[in-house]
Amino acid sequence: MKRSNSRRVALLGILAALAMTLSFVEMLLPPLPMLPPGFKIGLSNIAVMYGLFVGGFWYGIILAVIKSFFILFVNGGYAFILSLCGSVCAVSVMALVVKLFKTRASYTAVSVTGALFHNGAQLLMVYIITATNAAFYYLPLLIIAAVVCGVLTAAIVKLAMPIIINSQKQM
Amino acid sequence: MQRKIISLPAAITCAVFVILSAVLWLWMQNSSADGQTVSIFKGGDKMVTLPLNEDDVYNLEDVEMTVEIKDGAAFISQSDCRCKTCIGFGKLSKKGQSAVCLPNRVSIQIDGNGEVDAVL
Repeated sequence: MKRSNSRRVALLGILAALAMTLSFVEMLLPPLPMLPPGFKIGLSNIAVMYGLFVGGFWYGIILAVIKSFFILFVNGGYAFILSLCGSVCAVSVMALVVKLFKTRASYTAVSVTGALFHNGAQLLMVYIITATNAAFYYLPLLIIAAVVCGVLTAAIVKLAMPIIINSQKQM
Repeated sequence: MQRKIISLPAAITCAVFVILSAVLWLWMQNSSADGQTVSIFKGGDKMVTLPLNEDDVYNLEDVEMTVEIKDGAAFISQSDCRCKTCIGFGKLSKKGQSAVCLPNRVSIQIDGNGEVDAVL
């Protein structure tokens, strides 16, 4: 239906803008101690995950790609590749989890799985680019950070969920 | 059924991941001796191994990057990359610690053995 499609596109635009804004905000935060300097706490993934839950797999993928292109313009080519790999991988795995477990998968389960695969894919990409295993030194810290940040973003998504669903009913 | 914010299996799995990683990290820190040399790699090839006990300034060929050794620690002090994340890794002095610069495909890693390429 035409009306429903334009609503979906409009929502996509809002979420994309949100993802880009959150991406920018988390760049302003100082680097966290002990973690590699490029590490971000994943605020922009709130918008991506949200999009995945309300719009489905392709919605999430499009948001991930848009977010990565934003990173391309702000941080350059290599940050773009890392962001794209991590986000696309994370969205794919999260979509799989949601499809397999439906509502039995808690927000934390989906989010932490996404965060782990996001970090894992990025670490793999760094390994491919540098061709040394220097970066694997940070693996334990990245796992802990993924779990912690995953729980955080899950909480925020859960809190934000009723807002859009209610507003969609009113539209 | 409403999607829960967290379920027991998820909580347990998260706790297991965190505990195992924390144990691994603490073990890494404990068994990590003070580094003796720093190896500098570019594109996967080891360029040079330098001792940490000699203050030094090493400029890589082909790329505009400088690795400095000062007071027993190595760090990337200058790079022509856009994001400067590599400089943010800071001073490395323990075995296993590393820093990478992706646009230049450079990585440096602290080793504990004694083989060096340059001795003054």
